[in-house]
Amino acid sequence: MISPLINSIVIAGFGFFIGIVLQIAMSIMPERNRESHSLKFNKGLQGFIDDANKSAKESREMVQTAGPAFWMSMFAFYGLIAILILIIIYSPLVMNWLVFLLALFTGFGLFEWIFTRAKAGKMSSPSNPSNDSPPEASDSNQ
Amino acid sequence: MSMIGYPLGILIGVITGYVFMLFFQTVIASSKVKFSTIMKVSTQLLAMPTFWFGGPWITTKFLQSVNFAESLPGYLVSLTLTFLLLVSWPLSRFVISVGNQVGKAQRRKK
Repeated sequence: MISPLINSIVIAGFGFFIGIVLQIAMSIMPERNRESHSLKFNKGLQGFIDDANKSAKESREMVQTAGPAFWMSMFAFYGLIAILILIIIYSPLVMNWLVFLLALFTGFGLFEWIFTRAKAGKMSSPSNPSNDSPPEASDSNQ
Repeated sequence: MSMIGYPLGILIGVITGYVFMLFFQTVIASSKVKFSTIMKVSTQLLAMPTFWFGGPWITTKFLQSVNFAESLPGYLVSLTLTFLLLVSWPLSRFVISVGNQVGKAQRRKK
């Protein structure tokens, strides 16, 4: 039997990692890299519905034309969830939703903060960034 | 509680963390990766828990004398922490480089 503390550490580790992968998938999603398409009510309900439809269509097209890095990160995200489910079933670990969700939001929030700071130019990669540069992140901005 | 779980977890964490980063860089570094390659890499990533909890190393002669159930808590903690530490640094560098590129492109547009 595993102690609750060790159980929580492992579940938190998984939650943190899934949060990081989710944030990476969102940051390299083409939709994220263009101007935000805000929906406003000032054009009336029909205008709002038209805007929402247009935004949904654009998002669908963006996802359909997304590069391999986006699909890889999405596969990694769903794969990690599958791994977590398998581990919970086949190992002595017990799911602790509170710890898992807290760790997930922490991982997501931390990497979102890093992404926002890097986007504002307040943070740069310490070593040669070309080694890690994602090709379609720049492609999707055009 | 058996103490062998800690070094074992670190060792398996280092191996799987390094393998994860190799898979990650294979797909991220190239823009011409096919969908089938992504599926292959994803399948290999999904095989990681099999290695963590029942890879060939678990049935070797060296570990047959060790009660794995006793060393499981130490193994799990050290594996999780080692894997996360190893993977977090390159992933954060990747997120920073994506952020830098997106920021530069947006500033150029303005």
